[in-house]
Amino acid sequence: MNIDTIVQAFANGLLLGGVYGGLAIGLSLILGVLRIVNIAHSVIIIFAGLLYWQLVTGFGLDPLAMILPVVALAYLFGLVVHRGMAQQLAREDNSTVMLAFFGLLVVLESIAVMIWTTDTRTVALGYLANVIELGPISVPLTRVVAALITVGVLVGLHFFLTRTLTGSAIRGLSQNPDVASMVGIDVTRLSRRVFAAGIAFAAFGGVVLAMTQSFNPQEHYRWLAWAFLVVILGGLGSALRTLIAGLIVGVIETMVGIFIPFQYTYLVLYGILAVALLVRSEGLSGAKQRII
Amino acid sequence: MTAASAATGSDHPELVLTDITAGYFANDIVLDEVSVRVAPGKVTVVLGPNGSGKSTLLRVMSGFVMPRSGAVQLAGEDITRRGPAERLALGISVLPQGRSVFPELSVEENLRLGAWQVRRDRERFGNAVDAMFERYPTLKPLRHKAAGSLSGGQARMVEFARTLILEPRVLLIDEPSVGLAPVLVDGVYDELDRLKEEGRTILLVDQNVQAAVAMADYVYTLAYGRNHLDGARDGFEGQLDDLIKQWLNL
Repeated sequence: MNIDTIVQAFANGLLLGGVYGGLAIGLSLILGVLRIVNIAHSVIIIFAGLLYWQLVTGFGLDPLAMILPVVALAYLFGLVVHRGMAQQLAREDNSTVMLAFFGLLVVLESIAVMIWTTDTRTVALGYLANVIELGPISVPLTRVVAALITVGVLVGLHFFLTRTLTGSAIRGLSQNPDVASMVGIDVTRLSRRVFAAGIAFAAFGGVVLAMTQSFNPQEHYRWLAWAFLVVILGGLGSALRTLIAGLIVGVIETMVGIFIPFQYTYLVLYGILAVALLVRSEGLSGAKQRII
Repeated sequence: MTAASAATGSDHPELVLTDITAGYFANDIVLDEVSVRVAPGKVTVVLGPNGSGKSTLLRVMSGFVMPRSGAVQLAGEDITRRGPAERLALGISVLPQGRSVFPELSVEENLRLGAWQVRRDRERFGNAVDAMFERYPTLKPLRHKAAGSLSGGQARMVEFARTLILEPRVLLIDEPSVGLAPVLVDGVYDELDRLKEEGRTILLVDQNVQAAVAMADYVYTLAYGRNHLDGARDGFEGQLDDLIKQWLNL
């Protein structure tokens, strides 16, 4: 084993980690602000990935230009799901809400299978399908693009949440919804937008996933587990910490892969998850923060 | 004295509740035909034992509970069906019971959210926040600190500032000293005295009977969700001991 292998694995890990951050942020937003465990998160990811595949590979449209339409469509879908479902369940038990979202998962997964079958899909990215050589390491351009877009989106979200009045209102909503309504914030409307944004971010994760990996409609549970892993590691603290947790998971996954056999990678990651849960029920960062 | 005859010394009461009946569940009545008048520039105090409906009365005033019957008027205009955000825009602000800061937001963010309704009016928004730091200079050096890390007294001042930031016409204050260390309670009543001296219109719901009556212009008492007694403070002070004994026997 030489140093180049390690550098290459580290670079791969960072790029993979960027994708993981993208996969997790929607889950983190909805859980952190609205206290809703969106079990259907991963099926949104897969649905968006398939839609993206349809547009780019199926219809031959531009891979970068198609990101926004998929995300925008998911936002609209999120508005509908909030009005029709999440809002109605606001006063119900967590388990009831989870069950309802599991129902949504089953329905969406079935629709995805009906439309796109259970075949494994790979998006042909045309001009993005190059490999960049950087000295000893080589990285696929798609991964670099996907990771950079994700970092940009998460850093942007971080600044939105911490530097704008609407961001303060969203964090205030997560900390104390009653007082939020007392200062005149339309809590239902803001909640709906946050929920829809969470769904849109899930779709964004799906696009990023589709840019970098093959996927099929029925293996999304794995991505759900991955998203939870990142959310728990990062805590519900901030978009920035979700990104950092994603990078950590990505780097661990690739680095572990060069030292021990591939099949033990999950064991190590879930071991870390277990430790994270034991040490801090709120995530590794230590801060007892609940805000996104 | 009866509620119906409650004359407050002013012909144009700011906030008037007439025959309010309200409750949270179908066959549960928390308020039974309660009437209260809040006179402009005066401190109106509502007293009563636990469970007499004081807090619900305040929630009806702020629009968080819609009454089943009866009317709420602000300066002669019927606002019974207006929601909390609209009432806030009309000038009814609430200082809720207990800790109500956003703990993980900074002091400044807490105040800015207090001015949420005027956020589109940049100038008014900025001035409102600045004015509160002028009014509470002790908060200025704390502006970037998380509100949850403040002492109880400092957090209470943030809550006062957030409630006053829109310069409300009517201030509804719910149990201002509950949950505070006794040493801080005086500070809260000093602040209430300042608000009274400024001639603000205040409705105060309180269990701290002595302190509340000391600053009251007019007093109502509730019992079992109904109007019990009401009158100007002077007529009340003599009866206080009897009243408290009576409540303890309830």
